[in-house]
Amino acid sequence: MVAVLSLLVSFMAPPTQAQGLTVKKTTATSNQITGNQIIGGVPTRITWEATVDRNEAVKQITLVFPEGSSLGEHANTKATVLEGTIRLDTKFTSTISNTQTVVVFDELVESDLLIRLEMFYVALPEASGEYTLTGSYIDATGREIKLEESQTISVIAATTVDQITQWMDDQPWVEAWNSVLFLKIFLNPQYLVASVPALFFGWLRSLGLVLVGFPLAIPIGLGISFLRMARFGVIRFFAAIYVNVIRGTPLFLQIYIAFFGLPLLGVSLDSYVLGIIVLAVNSSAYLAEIFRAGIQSIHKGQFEGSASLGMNPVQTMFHVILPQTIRRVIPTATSEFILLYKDTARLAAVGVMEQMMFAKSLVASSGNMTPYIVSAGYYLLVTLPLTKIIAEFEKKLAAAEGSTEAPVKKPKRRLFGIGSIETLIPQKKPDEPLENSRSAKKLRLDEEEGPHDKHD
Amino acid sequence: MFKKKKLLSIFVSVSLALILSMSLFLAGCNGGGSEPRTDAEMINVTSGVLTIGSDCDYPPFVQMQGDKPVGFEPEILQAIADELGLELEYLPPQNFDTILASVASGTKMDVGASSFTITDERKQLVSFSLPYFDSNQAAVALISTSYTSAMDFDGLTVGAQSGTTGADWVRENLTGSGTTLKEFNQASELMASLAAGDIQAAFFDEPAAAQYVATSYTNCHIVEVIPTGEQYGFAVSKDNPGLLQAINDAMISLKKDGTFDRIFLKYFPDLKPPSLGT
Amino acid sequence: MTSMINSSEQPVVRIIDLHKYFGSLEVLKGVDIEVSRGEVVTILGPSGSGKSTLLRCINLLEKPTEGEIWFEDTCITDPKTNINKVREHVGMVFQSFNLFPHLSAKGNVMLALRKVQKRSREEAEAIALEQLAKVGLSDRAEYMPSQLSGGQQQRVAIARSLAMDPHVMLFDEVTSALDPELVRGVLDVMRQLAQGGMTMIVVTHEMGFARDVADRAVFMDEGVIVEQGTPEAVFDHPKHDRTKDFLGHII
Repeated sequence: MVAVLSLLVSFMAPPTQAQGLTVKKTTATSNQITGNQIIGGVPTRITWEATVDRNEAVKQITLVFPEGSSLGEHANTKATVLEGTIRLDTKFTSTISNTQTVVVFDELVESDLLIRLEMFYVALPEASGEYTLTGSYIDATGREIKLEESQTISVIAATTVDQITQWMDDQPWVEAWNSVLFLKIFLNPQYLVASVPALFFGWLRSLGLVLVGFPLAIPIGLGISFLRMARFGVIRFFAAIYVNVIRGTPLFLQIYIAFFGLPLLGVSLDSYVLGIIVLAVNSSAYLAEIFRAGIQSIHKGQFEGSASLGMNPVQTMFHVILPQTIRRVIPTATSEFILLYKDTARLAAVGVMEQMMFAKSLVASSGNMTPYIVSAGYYLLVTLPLTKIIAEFEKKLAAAEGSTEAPVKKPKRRLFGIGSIETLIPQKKPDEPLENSRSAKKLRLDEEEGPHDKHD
Repeated sequence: MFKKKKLLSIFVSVSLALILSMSLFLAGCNGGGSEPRTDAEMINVTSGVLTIGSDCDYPPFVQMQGDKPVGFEPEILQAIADELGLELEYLPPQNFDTILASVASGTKMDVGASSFTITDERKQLVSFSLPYFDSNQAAVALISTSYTSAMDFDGLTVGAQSGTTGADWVRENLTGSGTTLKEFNQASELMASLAAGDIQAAFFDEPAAAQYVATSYTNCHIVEVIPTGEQYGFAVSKDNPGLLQAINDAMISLKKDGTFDRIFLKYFPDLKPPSLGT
Repeated sequence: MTSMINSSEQPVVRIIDLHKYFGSLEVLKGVDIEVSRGEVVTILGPSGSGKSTLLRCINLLEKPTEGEIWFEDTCITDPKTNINKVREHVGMVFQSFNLFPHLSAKGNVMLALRKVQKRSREEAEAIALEQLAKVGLSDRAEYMPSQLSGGQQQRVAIARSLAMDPHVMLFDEVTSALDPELVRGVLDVMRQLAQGGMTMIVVTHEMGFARDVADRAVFMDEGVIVEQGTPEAVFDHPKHDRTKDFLGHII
């Protein structure tokens, strides 16, 4: 009787626009393997929220999907009802089809409650565009009332990468490969393909960090290395503190202090810029020791030869010592560059957008580790050629830099000072081990390079 | 020289891992690929021990006190372990975003317990126990700012903990151009970054957010509680239905004898304990 | 500058009561010596006698502990003296050559001409080529030091010093590090230089050279000048036992 009446009512005044249900939002979660957009034709999760208005109650909700929608495997609809922020134990039954989903609540959903419907594995139409959900609800009296139109969901057509990964989804060999858990999680073909373009900009950003940070570290490091060899003990002391504090603490801590401490002191910088500065400062301490070791490895005869020609310390440094030092420290400094490049990854912890951050984000949103493997590949893309270059350079250096110093037949006294140049003179014998730099071993090998070819 | 050695060792360890996982896979096949496993046989990575993986940085659910995790989750899990006659052992703090993968692999930990919201996506990877806590998302900002709703942050730089439903919420709802999501390993890093002004808002679970703004970060406040109605569950490997069953049974029995509610109310005196389906 | 012209009777180098300590070790124990313009003086003596130290004090590569050193009318031990200015006029050649390995033979000669004397590139290059020609290395101008033999390197070092137009040349055992067959070329260059009237102070173990070329031979031992005189007097009629002993071992 009531049903007939309600049917009659709804028949008399359909569709009723008197809204008793306010639609709060309609969103869909990204179904791109990497990325934040929603592609058509691929299952996604649609979330729809509405609140029940004062003096209204809801028995049933029907949501109509845009034309051309389809369902994936395991498609289903879940309803959650909240009172304020408290989740209620609400029982419901739901059905879902290509065209719509219907949720029937066991009990009326009373006024002021929030209803959330989550529709899993629903594919929106393949064509790109703005889509809305329409539909209706049935209230306590059995009236069917048309819903106001929801906000739109932007759907894009599948990108090339999406198409490739979708194609792979259907390949038997991919399925076989992914049936091994390790391969599925660490070397997943779909994620392998999708991560390469997704990580590219992260890679550029990481490169940017080191390509700006490292050149910045060179003059700082050189300056510090000079201070480390200064005539005045006080200056040497402070330079030593700089070097030892930075080299004696984990980069991670330095990053934390810079990122979380400085802003509290009122220093606020863009995090990318701050990242560059932290890297530059950190690297400058290591470079300072590399340069100092390099300068001190230059035979004292070079200082004496220059001095005997009337060259002052500055001229000697820039025209005689540094040009030789640079050649000697290039391999070690390049190693330092590689280390610094890898260290950029640590900045992900404090929210600098760089490659590791991109990779982490992908891993986190997918639960698949493959983006880390791809990330490793991107790092190797830089470090492997550089490692090769270092090896080549060292070979060349060994061949080219024949010593101009004759083998010294009698033991040489150590140098005690030659006028004003003494501040630049090594304070230790050149044959002492250079244990100062992370890659000091390399430098030492250079020094010990064997006999030199003489072409007479 | 050193480089080569390193590469070699990486190669060796990767291939070892490969072989190991292959053999595990094959063993799994032999064990019961086609015929269903004899029902409810509980497997532990270390026998006699319930091994837990957690990020241990989500008060009041779990946090490190010295070298010991304390909070709601450790206490509930201790009760569960007692019920099952197992020792409870927490691994050192893990990265949140890698725990589920570790659980799935089934070799490192028995249970992932880090306030994991039960989602369909995560169910692809692991199984979840009965839900033990109802939660919501919160948008947290500095008090000195004038934001009033979570949607105010559309188009801004915001942060979330990597792999959380908070991060998912941002991705799904703050779709305006210019929105940058920074993801952090730890909730404490997320809050530090917020306090440093590097992000405009932090999105994470409301109970933890409430704890942070009440204690360490009194210069921050919850701008809006986003009613997501999510529920936490303990994550267990899909290949270990026996353990899942045992945990669920233990939870129900703890619920029945009042232990669950007693622990729950100790940490959340103002909230109603979940029914656990009883 | 003007003083240089009317200083023909003034000694080029004058050393008065020079003492030098390395820590507590006294290596020069009061040395007095004068070297006149155009004079070639060889300093002989056993290892550790202080002869190299004496030489290195003359351009302050070693700082004297006590005593005075005059270069022409400049007291170089005076702290106010700009030693770099003096060094421009005091050439020195080392046992270990000390060529700049990153520069060609020509570049080695040009560097101080350009940077110290501030000459133009063309001027410096012309002087460099001229000096290299003098030491017989015209065809090696573009070679890097590592491509030259020890003897050639030492001749480049000599050319490098000569290019600065020094008033005195100091030679510190310049042939000691050379293979015997390469010694001659270097000595020939030095001999020519002496004949050309260059004031030279030569620390050497080459007795033949000392005897033939030097105007005066100075024998040092244990930080003092034991005896000095014409090469004939010192070599053929040494007065002191220590000199006799040394020469007896050498010859």
